[in-house]
Formats: sequence, structure tokens, C-alpha cells
Amino acid sequence: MTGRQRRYPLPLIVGLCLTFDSLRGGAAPPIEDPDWPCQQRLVPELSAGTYWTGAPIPDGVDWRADPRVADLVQATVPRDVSAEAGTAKIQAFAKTLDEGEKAKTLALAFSGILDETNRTRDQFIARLKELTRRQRDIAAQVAKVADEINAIPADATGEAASRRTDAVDRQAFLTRAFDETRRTMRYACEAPTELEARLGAYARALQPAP
Amino acid sequence: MPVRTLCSRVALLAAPLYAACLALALPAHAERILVSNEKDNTIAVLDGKTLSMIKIVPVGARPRGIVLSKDGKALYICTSDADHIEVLDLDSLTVTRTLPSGPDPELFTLSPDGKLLYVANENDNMVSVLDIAEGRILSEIPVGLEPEGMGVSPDGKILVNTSETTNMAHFIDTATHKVIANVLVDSRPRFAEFTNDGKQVWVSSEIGGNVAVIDAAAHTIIKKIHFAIPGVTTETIQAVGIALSRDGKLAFVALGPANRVAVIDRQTLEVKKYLLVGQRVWHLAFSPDEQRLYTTNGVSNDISVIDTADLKVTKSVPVGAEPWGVAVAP
Repeated sequence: MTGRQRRYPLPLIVGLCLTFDSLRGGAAPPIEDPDWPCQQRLVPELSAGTYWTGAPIPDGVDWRADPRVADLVQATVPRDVSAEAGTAKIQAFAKTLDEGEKAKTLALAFSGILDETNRTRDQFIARLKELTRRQRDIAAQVAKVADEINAIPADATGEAASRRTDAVDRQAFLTRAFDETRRTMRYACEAPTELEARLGAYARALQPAP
Repeated sequence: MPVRTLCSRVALLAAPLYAACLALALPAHAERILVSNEKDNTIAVLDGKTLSMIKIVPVGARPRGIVLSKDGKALYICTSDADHIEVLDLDSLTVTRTLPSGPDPELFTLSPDGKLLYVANENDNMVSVLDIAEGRILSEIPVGLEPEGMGVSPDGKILVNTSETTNMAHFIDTATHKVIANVLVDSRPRFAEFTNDGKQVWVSSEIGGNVAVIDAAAHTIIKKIHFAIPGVTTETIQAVGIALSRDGKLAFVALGPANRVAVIDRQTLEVKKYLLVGQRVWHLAFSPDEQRLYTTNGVSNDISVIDTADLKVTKSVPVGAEPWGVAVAP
């Protein structure tokens, strides 16, 4: 071999691996679900008991069967509805109810909002886990490309030099993809929490204050 | 002129007059509630009587653990992402000093004489011993991975630090700075608190979802207190902050996304009651008379007020984005 062989990708690989670990929020070790990237422990499903102390939620009653409730759920659960706007809709809805049916109907409405919030939240969680898998895949690809680069001397010429240049370009592309996913993940981790916060606001609007 | 400023000037004439002046000048409920807002990078200062906001003070990035100085004049703040400790002067309500720490300070505890801060630096597996007056780190104590919870015995001789990843409570001799015992607890221990008599240490485990009551002399677990709430899944129950009443009768444990505070009978070590508070309850602090307990709720962005005699939640008050730590200044 002539000249120095440049083995520069190793720090990059180490950096990416460290960065990948740091995606877990710098605090949470992969104790349970290895695909869950956020700092807080994954709560797979939001449960009624966490939020609800109002009238008992009717057992075995489908909230979709009451069109008024179904409409309220549809009006409040989409992601782009703010907690304030949804709460106002709930308050307006509550005013339309007779005292005799109010507690039971509001409990039914909560069960519908909970179901649909969980459904939306499931999609976010699936997306986050997919992002984790994607990062893991990118990290593996970077390692593979690094091996390719290391196998070709930095001062290679001809076809070898061309392959090396191609590998360096691919590595730069993969690194950018990794960084972009990392940034996306940071914000994506907030989405389930935002849904939880809104569900809490709705639960408070649907039941009397403690 | 603010009452505290006036009293500070009176105290220039005779130091003991400060407390007396405050006692005379301020109504019985004059405590101030101090809350660190992790996302807003602020400390919210609320009037304990009216629960109205007095001031929102900007501080360094990601404030989490906060602790009051022994004289009640300053608040020490772990600004985790700024990698240091800030000192909030409670008279002027401005940050007046910055103290060093290791990287990512999260929680700390004050020595009983008020001179030292023991700081858990989550990112370097060290506990820093910080001399407050001198503003310098005296020593770094190597502990387990991702140190977090910090408690000091009432006599100041033993420090307990929990490490999130190693799942241990490390007992450290504060004279030698050596680890003298390790107690294995459940997954992701977050908080440690000594009882007033120094005989027990309570350690919460977030993933384990329980609290280990440890015999502080024998370094053995007396009991693990488990929590079960009807209609709430077990993975939602994540034990974090602990508050132990001075009279030795009650303990309160924040249960994170279960949105509950558990009330525990200290004699039987059984759960008496669960109180529904705001969402993702992190930490707890008593009012000086212990008639009220304040909780920070990180998702609903508010604090809840618990009446400790009736064991009821009486009010919730918005404080800012992602409230985390809480302290009460008399």
C-alpha cells in the first residue's frame, strides 16, 4: 500500500451510534419496547380510569349509536382541533342535554373521545416505532458504506477512486437522512403527549371539577 | 417597598429581626409557590394565598430540580440543558448567580447546614459536591449510570443517590465521599427521601411503579409499596416524587401519567387513598404548615393543590409549559 490509508469514517459511525442512543432522550434505557424512541416510558393505551371520575361509563353501549355523541366525537378528536376549540364544543354540547340524561351521555361521550384518541395515538406510536426502525436501518447502512470506503485507499485511482467517491456521496446522503429523522423524531415524540393533554382537558370539561 | 426588602433592611440593624418582621408583616398564608417549567425555561412564582401568579422568571434551559436555601432567601435551580445551577434571589426575583455542576444536572439536595449542594449529573455518572458560598465543585463522586434521585440524612452524614440504569440506591458517606452500600431497587429509580428520624429512605421506581422503603442503617428493604388503581393500566402507574409529612403519619407519592397521588399510612405502609390530580404528576412540595401539598403536572401544565387534612384536591392552577419541580418559600 502506498501512502496513508484514510480510515476516517469510524468516528462518524461512533457518532451516529451515540446519536442513535441519544434519541432515547438521554435518559431512558431500552427496557421494554426497543422500538420506542421517546424519553418517557411508553403507555400503550390511555385508560379511562386515568382521567375519569364522573358517572360510570356505560358498559357495552356503543357511543356511535347515539348520533349526537358520534358528532361530538368527530368534531373534537381530529388532530387539528385545539383543546380550547374542542372544549368549547363539549361545553356547548353539554348545554343541550336534559339534566336527566346529562351525566350518562357525557360519560358516553368521554368513552367515544377516549376510543378515538387512542386510535389516533396508536397511529402516532406506530409512526414513531417506524422511525426508530428506519434510524437503525440507516445506521447499519452507514456502517456498511464505511466498510466500503475503508476498503479503498484514499489515494486510489481510476475505477477504484470512482467507487470510493460514490461511497462517500452515499455516506453523506445517509448521514443527512439520519439527522433529518432525528429532528423529526424529537417533535414526533411530543405528538402523543399533546393528545394526552387534550384528552385531559376534554375529560375535565365533561365532568364536574373535583 | 416590598415587605421582604423592608424586612431585609430592618435585619441590617439586628439580624434576628428578619424572621420576626416577616412574621408580623405577612399574612399567615403568605408562602410563595415556586415551580420550574421545563419547556418554558422559567420559574413561576405564585402567591400561596391567592394562587395568583406573582412573576414568571426566565432562567436557563430546561429547569428541573429546584430546592430552597435554608434561610428561604434563594432558590437553587438545576438548569439541565444549560449544564449548571442558577440561583434565584427570592427578594428581587432575579437570577443573581450561576454555579457549576457536571453535565445535565437534574436533581440535587442541600446539606442540612445549607452549605453544600449534592448534584446528580445525569450525563456523566457523577455526583458533584458543590460549595455554594465558594461557587466551586469540591469533589465528584462516581456512582451508577444516570444518577438522579438525591436524599441526605437529617444529620448530613449519609447521602443517598439513585441511578436510573443500574437500578440502585447508593449510600454515600459524606465525610469520605465513598459509597458504603448499594441497595437494589426496581427499575428506573427516580427520587430518594429520608424520613425525619433518619431511619428510613423512601425510593420511588418509575418503571417498577413502586416505592421501596429502605432501612437506612441495615441497607435492606423493609417493604415495597405497590399501587393499583381501578381502571388504570399498570404501565401507566409510574412512581416519581415523594413527600413525607413531618409528623411521621403520611407519605404522598406522585404516580406520573396515572394522574394520581397515592396517600400512604406511614405506620402500616399501606395505601390509604388515591387522589386524582393533573396529568403526569412529577413532584410534590408541602406548604410550610403542611396543610397543603402542591403537585406539578407536566402534561396538563398546571399545579394541583391538595388539602392534607381532608385528603382532597381543592384546586388546579395553570403555571406554564411542562411544570416539573416545586418548592415553597415561607
